[in-house]
Amino acid sequence: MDKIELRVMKLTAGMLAIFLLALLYASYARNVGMPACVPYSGVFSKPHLQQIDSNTYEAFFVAKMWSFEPSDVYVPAGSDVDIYLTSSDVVHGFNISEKAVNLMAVPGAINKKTVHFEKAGIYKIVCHEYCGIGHHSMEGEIIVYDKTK
Amino acid sequence: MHNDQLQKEFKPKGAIAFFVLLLILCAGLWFSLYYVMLQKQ
Repeated sequence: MDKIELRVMKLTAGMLAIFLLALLYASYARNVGMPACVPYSGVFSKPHLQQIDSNTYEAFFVAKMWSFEPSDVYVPAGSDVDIYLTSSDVVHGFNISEKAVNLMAVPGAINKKTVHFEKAGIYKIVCHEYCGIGHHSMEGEIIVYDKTK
Repeated sequence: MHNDQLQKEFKPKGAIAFFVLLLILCAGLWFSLYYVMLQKQ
């Protein structure tokens, strides 16, 4: 094999190894999770928020033309929220731009992502998958309040 | 004879430089998105 060709192969293999290590670091050291698919059940079709321990919540969102239900969710700062998402009509998007949340709401399917809200504030949810004439106004909020105030 | 010698010693410097720059650009884009993801976590 040509000497230069071998060097190029080593260089690219090294770069791929660096990418892989960075992903492993993000996954294990920084706890960056991937969205998961959950088996469909009737529980998810009823939009609600429930507390499952002192700082963990489950939010069941249903996307529909052209809103999210529940549209406002209140959780205290420092909470972990398990977001379960489905759609009752067409495919919608579910994006929290301040957080690494980018989900699809698909009828008959459930997507799940766990998000940690450390800072108090209003986190806007927007639909980022074109879903019809009211798409631009389809939004919701996760309001993270400071427990000490 | 002179041409043979030149061919043996030929090193594609331009192509290597282009490839290395491409890798740097790719790594730069990749790590900038990676950094955004970590910041949003």
